[in-house]
Amino acid sequence: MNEKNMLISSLATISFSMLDLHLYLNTHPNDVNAIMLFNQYKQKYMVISAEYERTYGPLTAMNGASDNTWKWINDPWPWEYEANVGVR
Amino acid sequence: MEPNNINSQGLEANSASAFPVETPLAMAYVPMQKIHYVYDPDNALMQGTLFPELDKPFLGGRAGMKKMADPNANAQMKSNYGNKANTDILSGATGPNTGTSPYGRGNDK
Repeated sequence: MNEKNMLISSLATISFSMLDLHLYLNTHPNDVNAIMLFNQYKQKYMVISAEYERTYGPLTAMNGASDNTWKWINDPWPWEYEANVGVR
Repeated sequence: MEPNNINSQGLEANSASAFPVETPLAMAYVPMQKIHYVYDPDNALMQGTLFPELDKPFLGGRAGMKKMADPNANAQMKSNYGNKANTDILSGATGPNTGTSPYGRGNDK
């Protein structure tokens, strides 16, 4: 797996864990340990997504602009086949 | 003379119960989840859940028996998980910010 796919794969696994913690926290809103874990994952996600976007372009249109260029229109979009070849 | 398991309140509360002592009968309940440890994110995605206590693969008619009564299902589970089974976030984490884990093996209180 190349570096791009490894980053995408890390983002997928971390965001899945965050989603599951999100559901848990809906019913356990005062579990400080779960909140701590959620924030650890969030921190990690932000670091890795920033690293990805620096090199490979925006993951969402929210981060579509940099260097006075609207990079969101550059192919491939994150959900397209070409952007996910080699990602398990 | 009263049997040993009878006190002035009646039968002793079953300490293994997942429900509070005063829980009314004839109602349906879902016990609250308690986290002991979590899968690392890689395993969580593969198993479809972050929480080992909610990891219930479809086993057809054997559902619900895999851990207690079915040694074959148990062996199957182990081989699926490999050596990374039940890794806590500390040892399973990769990349930056691998701070102390709030959950991990042996953290049961």
